[in-house]
Amino acid sequence: MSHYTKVRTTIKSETALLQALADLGFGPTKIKQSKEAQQLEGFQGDLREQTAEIIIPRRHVQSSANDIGFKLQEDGTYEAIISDYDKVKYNKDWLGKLTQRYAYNNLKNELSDGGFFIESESEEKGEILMQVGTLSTGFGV
Amino acid sequence: MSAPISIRIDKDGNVHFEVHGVEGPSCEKLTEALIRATGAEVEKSLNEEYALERPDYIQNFNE
Repeated sequence: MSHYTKVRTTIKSETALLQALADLGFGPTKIKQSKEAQQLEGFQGDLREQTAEIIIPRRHVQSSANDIGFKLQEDGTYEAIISDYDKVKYNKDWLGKLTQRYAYNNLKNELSDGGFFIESESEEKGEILMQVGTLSTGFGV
Repeated sequence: MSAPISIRIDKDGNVHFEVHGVEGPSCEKLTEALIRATGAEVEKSLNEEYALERPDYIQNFNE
């Protein structure tokens, strides 16, 4: 018998978020990170009212771009701040890919601590597939 | 001893678990452990503050 569960991923782990951004080409040298949220810069270098703890500086985003920010919310989740101009490129599909890479990295980081191990992993039609086993005998297997 | 678990992460980042060969409370326990391990239980996702109109896929999360 198989049991199916679908969970919607929420960006909570700073580590997994940074790993996901690196997977999409924004490694440590292309990220500005601070404990206290900093104001985002607009395409002319002007400071915007929006703030974020994790920022992709506009020079790394695209030509004439604004900063992209990831703002930590009171509930511990991160919210992406993307200007209307940059949403043409950094759109729903990009956010989906980022969320997918986040979920993948977060799983890899957390599964071993939770008594699981990854037997295999692959990618098919844009989806990531993993086979996972458990080290624990406490699940009645 | 292992309990094969299939995990699929779709294009939107949703995580789909399929647990094989475990039934009843043990299955629920395993599923809960998986959700705890992924930290992916809240039904919300990234959204965009700049947008005057939120796209459909974000509005759907709040319905």
